[in-house]
Amino acid sequence: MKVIVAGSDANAWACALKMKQAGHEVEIVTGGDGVATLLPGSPLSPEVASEFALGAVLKIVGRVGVSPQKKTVQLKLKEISGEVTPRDQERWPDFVRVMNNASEIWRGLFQEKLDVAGRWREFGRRQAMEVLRVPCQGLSELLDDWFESDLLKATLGATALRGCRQGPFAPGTAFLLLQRWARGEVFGRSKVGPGVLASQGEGIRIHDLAIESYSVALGRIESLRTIGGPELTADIFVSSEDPVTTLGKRVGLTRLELDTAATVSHWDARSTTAVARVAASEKWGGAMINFCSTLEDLEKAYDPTKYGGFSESPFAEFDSESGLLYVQHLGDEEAANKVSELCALHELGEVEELLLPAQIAERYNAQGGHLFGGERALWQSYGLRERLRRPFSNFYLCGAGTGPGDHGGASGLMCARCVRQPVATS
Amino acid sequence: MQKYDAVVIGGGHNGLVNAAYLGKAGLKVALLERRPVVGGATITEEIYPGFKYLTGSYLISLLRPQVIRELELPKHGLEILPLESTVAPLLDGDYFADWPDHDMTRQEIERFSRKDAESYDEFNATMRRIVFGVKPILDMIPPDPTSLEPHDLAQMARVRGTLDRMERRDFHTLCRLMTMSAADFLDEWFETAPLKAIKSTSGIIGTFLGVRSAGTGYVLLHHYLGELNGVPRAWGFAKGGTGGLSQSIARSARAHGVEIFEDTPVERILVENGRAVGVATAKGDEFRADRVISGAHAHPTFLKMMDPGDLPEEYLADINRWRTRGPSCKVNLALDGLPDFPAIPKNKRALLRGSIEIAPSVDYLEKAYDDAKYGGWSRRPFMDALMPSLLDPGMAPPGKHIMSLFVQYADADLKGGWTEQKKAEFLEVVVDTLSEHSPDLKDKILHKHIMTPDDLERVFGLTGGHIFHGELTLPQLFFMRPSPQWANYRTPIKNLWMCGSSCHPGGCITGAPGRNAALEILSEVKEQVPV
Repeated sequence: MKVIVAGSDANAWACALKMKQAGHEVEIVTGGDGVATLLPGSPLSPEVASEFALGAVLKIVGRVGVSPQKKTVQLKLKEISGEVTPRDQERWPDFVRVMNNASEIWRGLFQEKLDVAGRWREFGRRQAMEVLRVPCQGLSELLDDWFESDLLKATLGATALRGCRQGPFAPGTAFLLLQRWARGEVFGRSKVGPGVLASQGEGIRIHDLAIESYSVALGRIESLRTIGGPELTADIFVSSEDPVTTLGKRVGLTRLELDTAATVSHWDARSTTAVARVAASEKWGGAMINFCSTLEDLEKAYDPTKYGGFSESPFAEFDSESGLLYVQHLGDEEAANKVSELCALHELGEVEELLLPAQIAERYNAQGGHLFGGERALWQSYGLRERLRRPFSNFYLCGAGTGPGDHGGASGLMCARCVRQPVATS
Repeated sequence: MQKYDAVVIGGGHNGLVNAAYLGKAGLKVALLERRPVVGGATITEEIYPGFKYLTGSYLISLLRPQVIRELELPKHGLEILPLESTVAPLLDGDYFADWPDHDMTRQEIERFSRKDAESYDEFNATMRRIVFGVKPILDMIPPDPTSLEPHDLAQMARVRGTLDRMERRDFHTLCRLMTMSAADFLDEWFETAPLKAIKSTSGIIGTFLGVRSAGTGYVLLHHYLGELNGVPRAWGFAKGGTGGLSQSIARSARAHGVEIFEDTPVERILVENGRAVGVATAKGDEFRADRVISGAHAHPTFLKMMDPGDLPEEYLADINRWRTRGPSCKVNLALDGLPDFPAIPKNKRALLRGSIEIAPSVDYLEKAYDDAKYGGWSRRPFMDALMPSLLDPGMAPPGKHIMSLFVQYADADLKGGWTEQKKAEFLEVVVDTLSEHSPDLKDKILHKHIMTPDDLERVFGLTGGHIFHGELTLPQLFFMRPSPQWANYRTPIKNLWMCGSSCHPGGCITGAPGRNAALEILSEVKEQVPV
């Protein structure tokens, strides 16, 4: 069979490589830079690393929380230090255990041949229920239960909320922390990027072209139209672009089945995360930094977005190695000032470039400028995402907007497992 | 000293239901109520002479029909008058009305949007199917999902079976409804702002979350689970106020031999060798019993009436982290005549017989939450007003009226605490906000009374003034309510049981925790009695 994969992030590559391994003829249409290029710190998924024998894909750099008063808290898997209480330090290993176990279960849900329920019971009754509670809770609920230090709680909260449009008081937001924890992103950053997958892609033809649309006939995709390039035909099409861009824009809502069209039109991908490029800083030794103060302030920064406004005093995550700064929640002309103020306060130097959600949407073909193809919330996760896996008999979605989510390649692998020989239409 | 088969702590509606079922099964039961009259927060009180105030709950819908039937409540005086409508006066001078009758509401929606009127057909059908699918879970004993014991596995299978019977699409909708916000959920269906506002209020009742907070979808669903005389989602008003309901349950309980002791606060639950053996009252009496059942909130039960040292550390930790910070106040106004709501046309005055919701828009509701969540109160609160004297003239002297107002939000943990002055200030905020919709209201007020979260705690023993005994959020539902391994109405103390809203299925006047606990107790009693 001939398979065309649209996209160039790790999901597209992981899917393409698996299809190639299965003996198919695979071509990639890059569609230009994807939004994943704004997340260079985001590591490849452990599943992908083991599938393609990539070795270590994660570099442990630790995380630092910095308050406006320049107080700091240092987070490592083994210990925490800085603005924390002795009780916090004492409880940290137990918290890490719960989060690690919850991560294992969350990742297990997407793996074949794993008795997740059995593994879950092995934790023992108490631990099993703690694990179950994690994704249901609000960030403030989870973190207040465990810790006393405001800065520690805010740092974990800000980590969870990066790229998302939610407040820490709402139930279900601890799920955001779990997702980053499960990827190793809380204490680590990527050691290698999707390029390492591309280097294994011998025999995969690459079209470096922008995508225009898909043509649909008789309930299947006939071809992919590129901008300034050929119209490409294949037996199977796979897209790693987000669901709304792929199905709403490139295919067209009216071409979809009613249920699928409803899911796409309800898809939540309203981002209020601005991304600024500043100079990389060696001061932090490559660590991930959160500029924040308290959980209450994270909630206050979120409040105006509910009425179409933006944060008065935003919080941010800084990838000190790549120099990318993710600022929540911005989107209007005030943003440049807010980011400059933040950079001045924390001595980050000049802002080289500032991308607001609308600009991210435009430049990277990302619906709503969302970094993850859609809000990573309980109400559009797991099984609810699978509804968009296969909108047509020969068309699959494999991007960050599908399960398990994110740009680490796990969604691509998951998709490759789902691909079936299309049913011939007469 | 008397010896009982069971002693029930607290004469709230669930305690009464529990005692009545146990009495009906032939057990010798004593029920001890702290206040001079049973009812708990299901009570009618004549605080201002001639006017019957509803200081706690005010409407009925979720009361399980089995409870009404099995305890023969109508025979014992229960009379429920159907609530005809809900109306929201809007800021632009218009109004929006909602009836239990689908077609009447549909007509009303059509005034605003034809598209929404059509969506409403599908919305209602979907909600009906979901409610029908979920409702059996209200009457289930929550299993322990980590357990491989036969009865837990069987019960899990029953839960799964219930959910499996739902259509796949409905199950997906249920999953989303359980996790998303009421406002987002309604946004997917409708465009009419007042419709979304009035519907989303079900998602925040009693809950310290905003209509845009994830998780309020479940609270909305919770309020859809009711029925009245077979009419799904219908609400009603008990003749004589909700106190009329608790009195009817009390009469049923007495008829079944339950001894009810009012004015008898329990001071301690007596624990000997890890077993509950009875209670000691503040008056110094002891009631010995084979089992003790607490209908009280989990906090006073375990943190005040017991030596925390008797509890396993993990259970104690669960009780301590229980989220029970309430956002609700109850206001009663004695009125010298009917107030006018100019937004409601003269020929629609019958709408005053229903609920009047001060919920003009989703933003208004969300703002009310934002104002309060950092230790404050809403500058313009959400209110659900009812004039019971229009439904049941006996509630006020002839020609006079009472108005019962359910008000949100006011933080139980108010910065600086709930002083008398703060209390009076917030009462003014409530009256002022209501006056914006009813200019002549202030002139008609003869007397006003407020129950803040602090008062709800002091008077009814609801920690944090939480009307549901604790938030109805995912980590506090079903097999996690109130503690993961102890959601089956048992506690780590042998022979100590729970039967209040701190247990599955949670708050509202349901009678379900009381009934479920009684059935579970009776199944154990049956096992102990040799045939």
